[in-house]
Amino acid sequence: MSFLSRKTTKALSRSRPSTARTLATSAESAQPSSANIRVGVVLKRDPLTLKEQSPFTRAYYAHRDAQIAKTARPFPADFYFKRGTIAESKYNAAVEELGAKKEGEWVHPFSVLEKVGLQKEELSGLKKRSEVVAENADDVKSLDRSWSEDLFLVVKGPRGWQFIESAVGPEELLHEAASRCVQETCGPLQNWVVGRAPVGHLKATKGSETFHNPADYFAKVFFMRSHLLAGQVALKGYSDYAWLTREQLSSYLEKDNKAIAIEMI
Amino acid sequence: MLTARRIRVPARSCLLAGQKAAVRFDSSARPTKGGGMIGDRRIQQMQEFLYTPIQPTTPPQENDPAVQQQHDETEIIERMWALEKLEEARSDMEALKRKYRAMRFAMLELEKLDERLFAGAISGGLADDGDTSYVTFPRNLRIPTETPPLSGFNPPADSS
Repeated sequence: MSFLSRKTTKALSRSRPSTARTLATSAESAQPSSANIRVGVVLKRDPLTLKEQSPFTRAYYAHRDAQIAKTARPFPADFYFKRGTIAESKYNAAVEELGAKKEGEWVHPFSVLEKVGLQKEELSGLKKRSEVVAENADDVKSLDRSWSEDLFLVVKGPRGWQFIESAVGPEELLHEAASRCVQETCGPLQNWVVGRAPVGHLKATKGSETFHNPADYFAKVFFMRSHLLAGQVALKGYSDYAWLTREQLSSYLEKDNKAIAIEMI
Repeated sequence: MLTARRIRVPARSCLLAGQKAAVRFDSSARPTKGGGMIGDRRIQQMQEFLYTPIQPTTPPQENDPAVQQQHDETEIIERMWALEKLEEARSDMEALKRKYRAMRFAMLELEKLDERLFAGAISGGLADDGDTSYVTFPRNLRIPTETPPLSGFNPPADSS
């Protein structure tokens, strides 16, 4: 791929998966059974609002608008507001209140509309919403918080805080197993598993502290990405759950779980 | 570069010919007491808006130090903005590379471990079994907006 460095591309190309695969006989391929392959799901609630702009970005856009406004035509009020109508008198009153009767001053029509009160209901609804969001800021189980960030589902399992996972059935593919895993663990949750390829993997290495159960020592977990569409978690099979932002994940997850999370999300 | 000039729209008298032409083709035109004709002024306004060029009222001031300073300030601001955008693009690309690397290594490992699962994972595009539910985005996958939904993340129970 073009956006990998030359070194990485060379390293990967040495073990490039062949695209033209012939059927391998059982004698030729000595592959371990898929009983030890597990599927994990990185279930994510997408951000609902755009990221907050930095002070510099806000200042730059204000500067650019001012530059454009300096050379723009004045707002043709007499085109939009017919002479002698109530709308025209309201507009003139709003402009005067904003103190923009000075020569060369340009007033954005939207600021005038706000003054006239056409968006009052929407603005008060938004205020209430932001109060609710502020209340939920510390509640890690709530989905009604951190509007501009991703929220990832983690559960308290045998490996500490981890992503949800389950075994892969003998006839199942990874994306099918991922769907089933979400339904079994989180209850009737509307979600969408992205594609068929895993986004990361975790395997137990000798002396790894991540896998406590001896039966899991040779297990490999392949993670699928999934978007939460609607619903809330009704947890089964784990003791606790949390919806965490990217920053919070690094304080909750440990060791291998943390390492792979940083790489793949 | 932009300078502090006031904009002047040419006087109406310059557009008298155009005004007359507009009135001639306007069906709501009617005569006035003074002998002229009036019609829908909005046609005339639209013509002014569309066809008159914006002309500065002051001559260009090349040797004015205040103007030069303004030029310099604007240039510095633009360069800082370009730098900010460059950093943003770099960090986006780094994140993309990191995720791709994780995905690539997962696929390499899967190929070694299980042929069936690997074959299922690489069958992208239109699948043999006719299942394309994973290819198209679901309709209720919401994109971020400037303001949040008034009902919050979980919509009210009675909405479908």
